[in-house]
Amino acid sequence: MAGPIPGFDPDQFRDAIRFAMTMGAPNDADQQATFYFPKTRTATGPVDSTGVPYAPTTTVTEDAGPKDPVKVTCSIEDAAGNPTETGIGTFGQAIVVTLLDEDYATVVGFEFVAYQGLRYDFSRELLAGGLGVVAVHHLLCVGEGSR
Amino acid sequence: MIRWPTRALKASVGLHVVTGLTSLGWMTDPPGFAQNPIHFDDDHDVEKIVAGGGPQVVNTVGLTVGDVPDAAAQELGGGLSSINYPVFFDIYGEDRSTALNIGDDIVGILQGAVLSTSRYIPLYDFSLTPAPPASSALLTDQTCEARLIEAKWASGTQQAEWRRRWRIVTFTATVYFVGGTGDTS
Repeated sequence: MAGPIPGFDPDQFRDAIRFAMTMGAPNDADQQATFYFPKTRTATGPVDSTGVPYAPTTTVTEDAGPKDPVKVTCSIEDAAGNPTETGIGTFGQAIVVTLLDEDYATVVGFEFVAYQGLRYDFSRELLAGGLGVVAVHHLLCVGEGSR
Repeated sequence: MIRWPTRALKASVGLHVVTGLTSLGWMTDPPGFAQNPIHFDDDHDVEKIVAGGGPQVVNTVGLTVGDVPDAAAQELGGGLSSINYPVFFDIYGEDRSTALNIGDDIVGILQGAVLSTSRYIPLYDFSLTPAPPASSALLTDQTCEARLIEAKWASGTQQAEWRRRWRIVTFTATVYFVGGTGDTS
């Protein structure tokens, strides 16, 4: 349900949800979800569409990006519960990151999230939900390999 | 042979096809015969498309190169060799008809059957600006077997709607070259 609900305390709700999310997070801080933002790469020579040089003599420098990597309270769900079997292999390394509205505002625009040593690139936002005035965002992120 | 020929091949084929699609009006927004222009992705990753629940942009055309086989000697003693590169164009159309149209035009471009496109594509050396054709190699589709095939080969429970708008053009690009493969220029 969207919109204000009589008697509903959004801050109390957020605290309770964050408490549950924190309980489900890895104990090792290095393994917890960290959100990284896109950086601008500058090359001294021709590069391809991914910014990788064609010539071995070309050097690439990276700026600091719009934000430092950030951790926010979130929950991570393995989205590969039903991996897709194809003629050339089984696909499905993906996670769904669930964020409350305030934490979503902190990380929106991120390029990838590092979680338990792996990198997951942001793919798309799934159907958003909510309770009262609190929005809940579900973000599908696709595995990119080791971080 | 130039250094890092697979990337040069990928970029050369991509440039050739994008040039053809542009001439055919596919890159204009809107193309007129479709609702959306083609989004060409030369860093295509099928696994990410599948895991991500489909392409983020309709009418995406993704270019990938498959496993590269060994070079084969063509002429005993003469030094002429060739490599057959398997190339794939994954097409995620806005609807099934548009996916077929895009696929047919890509096949036509690769076979030299539309516009005045050539079946012979220079292998460009993109390490230089502007990229000149590499003097020691020629990429050709003389052995082109461009085919448009259906891609809805996933298992039933995962049969998302976007898969029914997915087609694949397969293409064998043969690079002929003279000399060794160890050039570092």
